[in-house]
Amino acid sequence: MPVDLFDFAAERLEQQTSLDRLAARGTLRLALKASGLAPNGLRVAQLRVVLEKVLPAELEKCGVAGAQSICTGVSAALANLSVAEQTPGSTDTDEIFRRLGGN
Amino acid sequence: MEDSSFIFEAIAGVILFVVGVRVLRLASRTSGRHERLLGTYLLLSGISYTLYTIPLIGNVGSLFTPVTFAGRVVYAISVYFVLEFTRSVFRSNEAWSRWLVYALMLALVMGVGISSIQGDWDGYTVSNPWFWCEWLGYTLAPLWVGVEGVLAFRSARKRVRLDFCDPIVANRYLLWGWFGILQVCCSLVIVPMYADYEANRYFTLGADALLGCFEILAAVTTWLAFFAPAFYRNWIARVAAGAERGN
Repeated sequence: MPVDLFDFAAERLEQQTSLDRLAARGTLRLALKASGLAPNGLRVAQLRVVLEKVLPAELEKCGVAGAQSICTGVSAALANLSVAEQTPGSTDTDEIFRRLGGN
Repeated sequence: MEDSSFIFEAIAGVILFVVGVRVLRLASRTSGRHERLLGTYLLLSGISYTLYTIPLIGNVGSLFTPVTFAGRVVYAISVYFVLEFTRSVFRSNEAWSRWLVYALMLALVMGVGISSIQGDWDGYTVSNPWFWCEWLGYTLAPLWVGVEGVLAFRSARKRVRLDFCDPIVANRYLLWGWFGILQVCCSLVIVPMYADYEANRYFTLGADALLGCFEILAAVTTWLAFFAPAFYRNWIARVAAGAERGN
């Protein structure tokens, strides 16, 4: 069954850290915001980069030990994932504005 | 209007017209709805500016009011296209955005319609309450454009750092936001200018020149955003590469 990427990653975080559901979702939201992304329209490739480069620092701020390895684990779990159909997100707006420049 | 400061408005009109034609040509290749909306807006704006300028370039006598009215109507129509462009690009999933488009178009239609029925065909009578209804319509529309453009730029800048977004696209958001803000500046300048016209039947040179400057700056902004020359693209790429090295 297709899953929502944001929900999937937030649930994994909740399972692998001491964060409760609200804190896990909030931390992931903060990481996405710092990356200029929104939960809607998130793509696997984007989430992988956020997990690798942005989320570890956000988790460390919350006092989570071994943040990097937790994020690597969540990233590995993204493989073979059947992702739900995307709603338009910030990167679709990027695509429109890219086209408008004729490039 | 005194001297030849209206020439600024004419130049701005030509730039908007040319950029509009270029975006519509792009739309014919891509069949993209957003390209069509934006191109139509820019083209109609260019036509409207030109219509406003024609009576001031040559002595058209009795045609002054009809041509000015035509410019006013064409501009009001153009606003629909920029509102729909903004809604469908930035807020397509949010119900309030559709209501905002309806409300601003209603304000414009009522403002133009009722003030014209009351005899103000030029739309220069600031003492008429319906002038303000129209003014709100054509001022809040670019304000929305400006806000969305700047917000999109702030978010895109973060994506550029992670290589999710092309720096030229991020810059295009910023330019589009600036375009909206400059259009709001135009709306603010015309208030004392029109008040002067209502009292003395002429536009003062200072306000007219200031309006022309804002209009040209706004038009050039669209040219840089949607018709960027190679030197500008290269400069943006160099700045982005420099910022990346600095991180």
